[in-house]
Amino acid sequence: MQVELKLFASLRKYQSKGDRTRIDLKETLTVGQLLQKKGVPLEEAPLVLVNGVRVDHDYQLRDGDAVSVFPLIGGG
Amino acid sequence: MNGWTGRILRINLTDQKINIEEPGHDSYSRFLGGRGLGCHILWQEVGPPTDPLAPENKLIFLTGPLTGTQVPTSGRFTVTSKSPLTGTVFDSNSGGIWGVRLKKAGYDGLIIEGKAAKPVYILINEKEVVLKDAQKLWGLNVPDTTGAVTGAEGRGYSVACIGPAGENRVKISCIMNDNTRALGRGGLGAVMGSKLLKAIAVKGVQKIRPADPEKLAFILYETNKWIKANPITSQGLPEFGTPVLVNLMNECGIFPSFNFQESQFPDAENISGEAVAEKILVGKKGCYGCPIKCTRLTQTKNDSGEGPEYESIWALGPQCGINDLEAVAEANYLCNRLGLDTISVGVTIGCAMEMAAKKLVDADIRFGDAAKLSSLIEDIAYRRGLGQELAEGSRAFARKYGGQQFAMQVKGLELPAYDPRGVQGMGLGFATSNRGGCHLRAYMVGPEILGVPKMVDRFSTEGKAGLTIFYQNLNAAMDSLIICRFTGLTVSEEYFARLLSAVTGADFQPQDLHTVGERIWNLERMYNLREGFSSADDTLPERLLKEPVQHGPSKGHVVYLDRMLRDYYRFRGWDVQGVPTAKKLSELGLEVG
Repeated sequence: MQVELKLFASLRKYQSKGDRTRIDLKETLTVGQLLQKKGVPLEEAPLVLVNGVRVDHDYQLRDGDAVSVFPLIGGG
Repeated sequence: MNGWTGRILRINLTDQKINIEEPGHDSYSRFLGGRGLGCHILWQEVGPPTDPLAPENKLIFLTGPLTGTQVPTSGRFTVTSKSPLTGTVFDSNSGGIWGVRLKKAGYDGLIIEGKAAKPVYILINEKEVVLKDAQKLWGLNVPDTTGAVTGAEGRGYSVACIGPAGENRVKISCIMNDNTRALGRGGLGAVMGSKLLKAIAVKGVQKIRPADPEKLAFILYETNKWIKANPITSQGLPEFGTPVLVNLMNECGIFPSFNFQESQFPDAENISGEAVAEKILVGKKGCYGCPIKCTRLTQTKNDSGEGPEYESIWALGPQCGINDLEAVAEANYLCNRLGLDTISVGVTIGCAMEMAAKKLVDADIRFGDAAKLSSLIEDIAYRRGLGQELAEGSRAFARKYGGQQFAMQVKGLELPAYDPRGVQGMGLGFATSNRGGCHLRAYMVGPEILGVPKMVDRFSTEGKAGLTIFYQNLNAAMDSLIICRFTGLTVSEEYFARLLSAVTGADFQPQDLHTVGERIWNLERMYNLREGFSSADDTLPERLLKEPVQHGPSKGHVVYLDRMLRDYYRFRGWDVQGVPTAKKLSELGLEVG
């Protein structure tokens, strides 16, 4: 199973340039488990989108999911 | 009475009379300052027959009760007038330090009326108020005007001025202060230009004393803790500025591009807050009394300046199909120098690009043409060629060429960087905004996208009317205190009520802020109704109501405005035509007859 993981803003520090896009998963994971594997503290990553739709950390990843993760941000 | 100086300067440019007036306790407690007091004065003094660019229109500069105190992000002021772009009551607010200096000179505000016989600027300090010849300044851009005034008058002056765009009565021109801060929207620069008023320089160092310093210090301690503890104000904005939103809005499919034909932009990452930080950032800066410091100091190969902000990046970038960060930053510097509203400029140019692509306008402009951006912006400011027509804003431009559905505006004000088809409450907020297509009246992106204070379903219309009203009222009060919207994302109104009480010595509860906000909102509504606006104007561009989003996470959606608008009028206590009922007006103490 393959998913795409993108980390934004201050979370970029948890992603090195090379492993930016596709990740092969051998097991079924939740978003939260994937983030923990990548060393991202969940409390720093409250805004998770899968294919543009807001999900919780316990969302079960499916093949082909595009996961975008943001810290709490605001502005405008 | 602490918090307010109690004094407002009335300056008539026609006969050069200068008077000091005292609005009185009742006006202050009912409208606070800034936006609220400005609307109160405009309601009384500028009625329907007035052409916004005639001497009879007024420009009302106001601080709020918290301006210049130690309250974080309170270094703000507003300008209120009847807008030449929308014809509505219009207020714009700005940071920097100009408002603080005005208050420290001993005034809560200025009412500018009439028209000078030749270009003038106004000099204000604690001892005198003088009208000075500005013929030599006429024609200068914003930094040159600012430099010339401070050079002539000496240190300690802060300058608000117009650039060539305001002089030329461009309807999407702004008033700039402290060189790079903007009272951006609504064409207020054109009103100042129509009065032949080039600049206002203010200097003052009087202490602003709170009624209860000890109580204020205690509440400030807690307030500042909240600002430090929240990642929005302690990490995101300081590290990336407002463009931190680019990637999030794009990933959500609410980042319009190509004049709202699409809701995502393929190259968003190239122009994001992360890209700004990586490629052009050289420093950071904050307004008076601001711990957040969201301003970006940036440098491109050919130029340098401040910004671009999230909205400016979007308007001068994706809205025009442009993905070149340096070109966008340089276009932004240029708008600041000429005194132009970056949002309205980008949206108007994008509108023209789409109309050119559809052969409605015979002009050599196309989406993505970054090389043309600067010359188009200059043409707008100097009203040259196509710029002469673009200077009227997107609504007038599109109407002239029979393509009004391509003008992405509400009540004449160009829409900002959110596609409401994927944020339903934002759609209701745009449609009902009293100053036209504005994101700041009810920033529904907070609950619908950011999850602040709590996440709600962005595609649903359920509960959106009530929530929109809640934020419209609260923000009207915040714009009267005057507090930066970003602090409002992290500090609750309970704190602002306590801070206001400590500063003024009067007792304000959180509910009082909502009541003042509701009073302001209803008075603004009554102002617009008196000008001939009706429920027919509470709408959105046809595209957003009829054309479903084609691609991305918002695919298939339009704005379901009708069902939200009915609830909205009802919850507001208005009739089905959107007119406040006598009962509602009386409940708010608005004797507007």
